[in-house]
Amino acid sequence: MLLSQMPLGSRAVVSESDLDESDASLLRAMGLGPNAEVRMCRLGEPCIVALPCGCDAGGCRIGLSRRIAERVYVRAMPV
Amino acid sequence: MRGDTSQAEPPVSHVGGLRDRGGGRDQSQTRRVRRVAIVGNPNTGKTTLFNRVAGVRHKTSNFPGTTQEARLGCADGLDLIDLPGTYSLELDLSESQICRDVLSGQTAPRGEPMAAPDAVLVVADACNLPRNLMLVGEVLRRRLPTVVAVNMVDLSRRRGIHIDVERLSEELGCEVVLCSARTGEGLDRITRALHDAAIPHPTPPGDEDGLRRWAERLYVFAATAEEGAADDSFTDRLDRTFTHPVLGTLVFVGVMTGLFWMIFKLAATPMSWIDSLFGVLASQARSSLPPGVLTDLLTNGVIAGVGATAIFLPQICLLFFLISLLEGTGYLARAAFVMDRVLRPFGLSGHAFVPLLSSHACALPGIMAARAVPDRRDRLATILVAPFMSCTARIPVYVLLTVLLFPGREGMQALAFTGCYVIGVFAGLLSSLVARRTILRGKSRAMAMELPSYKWPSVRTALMLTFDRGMMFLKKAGTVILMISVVLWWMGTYPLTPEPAELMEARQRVVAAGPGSDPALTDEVRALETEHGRVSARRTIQARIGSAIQPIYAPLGYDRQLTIGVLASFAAREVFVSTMAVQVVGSDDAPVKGMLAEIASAKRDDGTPIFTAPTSWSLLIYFVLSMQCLPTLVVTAREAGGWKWAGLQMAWMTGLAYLSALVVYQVLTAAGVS
Repeated sequence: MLLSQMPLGSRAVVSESDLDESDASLLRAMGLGPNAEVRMCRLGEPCIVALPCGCDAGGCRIGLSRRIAERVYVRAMPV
Repeated sequence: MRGDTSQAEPPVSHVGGLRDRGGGRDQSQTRRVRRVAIVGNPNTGKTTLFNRVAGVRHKTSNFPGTTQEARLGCADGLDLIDLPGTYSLELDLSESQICRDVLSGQTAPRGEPMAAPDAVLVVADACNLPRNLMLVGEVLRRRLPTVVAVNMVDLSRRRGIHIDVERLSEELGCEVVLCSARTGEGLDRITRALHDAAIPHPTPPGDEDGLRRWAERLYVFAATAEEGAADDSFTDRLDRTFTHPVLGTLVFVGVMTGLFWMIFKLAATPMSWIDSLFGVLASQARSSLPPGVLTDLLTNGVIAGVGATAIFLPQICLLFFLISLLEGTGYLARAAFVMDRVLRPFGLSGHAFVPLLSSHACALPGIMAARAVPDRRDRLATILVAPFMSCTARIPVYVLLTVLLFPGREGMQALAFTGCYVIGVFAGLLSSLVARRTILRGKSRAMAMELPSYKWPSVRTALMLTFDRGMMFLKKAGTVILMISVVLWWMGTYPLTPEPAELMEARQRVVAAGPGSDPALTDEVRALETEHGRVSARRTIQARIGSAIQPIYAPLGYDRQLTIGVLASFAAREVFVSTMAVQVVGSDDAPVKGMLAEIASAKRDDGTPIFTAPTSWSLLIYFVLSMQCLPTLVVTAREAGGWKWAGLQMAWMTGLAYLSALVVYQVLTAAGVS
């Protein structure tokens, strides 16, 4: 599933992306790399995801343009 | 704590220029000074922490051959270098490159010794430790004495995150300090820890995946979080509102209008104080010094020129203060996405928002900030249009002309002022569109940006930034503008025209009759003095240059004096107001009634007012659009990779400004507006 197709409020784990290396390395450094858990906060343009970074209490938020969100693949997490 | 520094005995540091200027303490004479580089992810409170530790004893510098800024400060025997925020040392971005090079001793801020720092302070966000620990790991691999400051612990505690500092310190092999730069908690321990910092003993894994696993394991080992401690639903709602296509845009317009309204409203009183102060200074100098060239230079050159620029200090300070507060709330990052929708159709990405917003302060940092725009074509388009954004150097001109156009009507002044900003933005966007359809064809790059958490901004940080920028402006007023004012005074005074015999005789008659005893005689002397002033003004070097070039600007409604003002402000826009002040005050012996009032009542050589409505509108448009800043051209050439870009920028902007001002003046004149 694409990141941009995640339902609002759902959780998923990043599996891979077909972004070019400079975009992909920046996302990885920001915490949005393979196996990162994400929660969808806002769909559309921009797409906003929360990265719990190990605990729901912390983490960060990343805003992504739809063009990036459509090139990141995720695996849905069970509710 | 102190004393066990045998593992990494620091060399005696060459003390930077800051200390030589009185920024240091006496104890630095007897104690070894350690150079400390501060690194950290963006949005970790690094700047707030630096401000807290270094206080006002800091200066801003940059790196040779680059445009990245670093702030240098000193505290408790430490020379601190605040490096640009970066997510990783390994990225192909300029901020990562700078951090890499500083840590390996391959570069240093100007005036600092080219050597690896004696210690590194890594600032990490307690609420987002796993990602921040990856940067910590990258620094630890460099084998430099290191201290980790886990910042924002007040916030993490409220969210139920507890960090076992001893465990973390033990695993990292370096001292870890829990702190809050916002409240000041733990900051005293940071400087002590930096004096004792030693090379960490374990070395984290070298590959990216290994480092990620290491950071995650470390976090699980050293931190605990209460389940369900945080409720992000409010943040979610705010994010959806601020990035909503309609609501978000309305909020953005409201915030920006409020910002500029406050700048106008709050700055009015201190501006009048400064105006009065320079008026009193000039009047005191005239009455207490003997008449002559030196008094004339002091009052009409130095005080008139510097005063006419310094009057705008309150507005410049307010702009930086309010933008810094706004940035501190976390709103600006959301605004960048709102702007992405606006910018994308014009061939710019939302990444250009920060450079373009910075250009509203000054085009130089704006163009420099364009380095953060990843795509080359996006970056070039951003650089080319950044000077269209109304910088603070234009504020004096905007204020002068909007006050002249709408005297006593603050609402209309604010509207016209905001209009100037809007015109500048639209001209920039349209220019970008033209560039992206012709010389910079191609798709713009998509945007990815961290959205910092919403919080109360740090007034202290905002004040520090305001102080920095205000001092930079005053420094400019006291150096470049002072020099230009003196040169203009000289060009506007020489060659001297001897007083006519008729005027000297009339003066003698006034003295013989007793000063003030014959009002008709006094009026006669004033009339002769005014006429002499006009004749003298037409014979000066400045008048001759202005007269030679004036025909080019005549279709725009500019007379000789305005032409000189426009030409003189090519070096720096704000010089326009001081140039007009020197020209107007220098040819008028009337009592000082305030610099703005003097300029407002300025007359052409034929006795008609200089600032008619068509001329003022034409001038306003000219200054909104024209490229009148030599340093910007230099930086454009450097950042864009050649003088052809600077030449293109200059030709496009000045041509557009001339044509637009021409249309405005001719249309208003034809419509009978006076």
